[in-house]
Amino acid sequence: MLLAVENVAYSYPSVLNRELVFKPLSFTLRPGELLCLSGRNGAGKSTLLKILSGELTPTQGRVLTAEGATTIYLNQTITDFLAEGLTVREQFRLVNDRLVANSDGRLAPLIVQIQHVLSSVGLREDSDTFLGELSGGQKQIVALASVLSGRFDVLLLDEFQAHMDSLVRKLTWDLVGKYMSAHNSGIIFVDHADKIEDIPKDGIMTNVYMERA
Amino acid sequence: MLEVALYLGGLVDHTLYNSLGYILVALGVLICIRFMGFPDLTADGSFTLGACGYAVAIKAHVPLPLALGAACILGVMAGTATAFVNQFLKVGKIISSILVMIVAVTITPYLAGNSTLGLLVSSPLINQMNTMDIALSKALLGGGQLTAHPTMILFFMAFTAVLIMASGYMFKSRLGIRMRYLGSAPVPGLIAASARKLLLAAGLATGNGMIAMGGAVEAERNGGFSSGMGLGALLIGLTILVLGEGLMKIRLRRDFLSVNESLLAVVVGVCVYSLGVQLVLSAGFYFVDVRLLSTIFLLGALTMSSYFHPNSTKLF
Repeated sequence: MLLAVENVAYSYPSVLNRELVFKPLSFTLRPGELLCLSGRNGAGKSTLLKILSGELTPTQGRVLTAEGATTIYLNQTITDFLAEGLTVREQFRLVNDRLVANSDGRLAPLIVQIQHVLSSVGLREDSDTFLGELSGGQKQIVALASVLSGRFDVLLLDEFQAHMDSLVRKLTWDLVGKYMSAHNSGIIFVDHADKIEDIPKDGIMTNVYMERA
Repeated sequence: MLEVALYLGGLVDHTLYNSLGYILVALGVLICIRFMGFPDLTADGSFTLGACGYAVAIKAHVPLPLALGAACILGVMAGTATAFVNQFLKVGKIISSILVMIVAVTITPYLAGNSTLGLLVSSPLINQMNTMDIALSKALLGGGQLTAHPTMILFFMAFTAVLIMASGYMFKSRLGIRMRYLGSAPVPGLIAASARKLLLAAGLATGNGMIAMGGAVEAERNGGFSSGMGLGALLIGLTILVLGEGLMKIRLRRDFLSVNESLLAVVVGVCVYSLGVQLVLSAGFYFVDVRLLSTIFLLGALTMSSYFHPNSTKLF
């Protein structure tokens, strides 16, 4: 088990309105599992992801994380993970000293995919271009690729592809799939039905439907 | 012809001599403000603390390298204190740096035993350099009143060059990249929260250590320490930095600078700044306060940078 959500609910810290944002939820996330949070607008999907990332504290229930497990939360503002004064090469060095496969070759498909995604926007991981000089789309790709060149046990994905075109969206989902296979990480993402066809099909897929309280 | 050569030689000598302390201040400001993204007003306090520590050490016949080391340690302590107040006591960045600056300036008279401490006799090494400078000046300029400072300039320039190279090496290493990332990424999510405090403390300690050594060099140049001498150190450091960065960006036609280019910008900035001050003073405006002059320079540099590079000029 990577993460366990036990009877978690949340209400905004308002004196006048103490209503819960969503009905209490319980589920677990195992290594290699892809968990989809679905529900209508305002069902509290993003709020739950913020709770899981530690950004918000649940009003009731608790979130248990496996000892030593690392979590990263990616949303539409994924480019906030970039420092504009760094170069692409430096951004990747932040996470890994060198982007190379380990001895058993387990990471090789992931690295190839990272390089493929970067080349789709005309970049390389050792490029000396300043991040501040990249276009919005290039920044998104570099931010995601650099994050996924690191090692996190739980990925929380909240519409992180919002401004990507369909081709890049497909490439990045492939990247996420390779990441999951390489590291046996667990992924929780917010579902939007019109974009679900790109989601990797390998691994365990679980759906959690959320409703307003 | 000889008069022109003497004037130009004197101008170069004074420009370089006046740059010796402030290049270290600008280097510290670059690290704290640009690399670590911290509006660090501790600078004025670290400068005073460094000058005080150096003067006390020299007065106690401590060798020059150790006296400079003592100044650096005091600056490192001030920078670490600012990081501690900000990160552990959860006080805002500006307020925490102001608090430490006030404490640093306030304790200097207690360290020195007085609010001023003259250095009529310096370390044997400095005395030897002064003697050589006087002899060289006599040989080159005749028996006039003018004194050039070639030995002193060479010594401190070599010392500064070592510090600049060490800073370049550090901020291009993975540790340095992590520090720069922490200082400028809106969400530094690729660095564990537990490591951020340590990285910030290391950055502010390094920057303030440099500024304190700048204070020590100024104490040596001015023949002593006074508790008010740090007032405006940050302003001067910032002016040098913005001026140098602006000129480098215009020259390179780029919005962003690499670590080496930023360090070179400090060198360019301090030369242009000192030359500007020297020209204003030699034009007869000797009554102009250097801080007031720096404010005007900073305003000019910021206006120039925001005109040519609006995207990357923002300090905070």
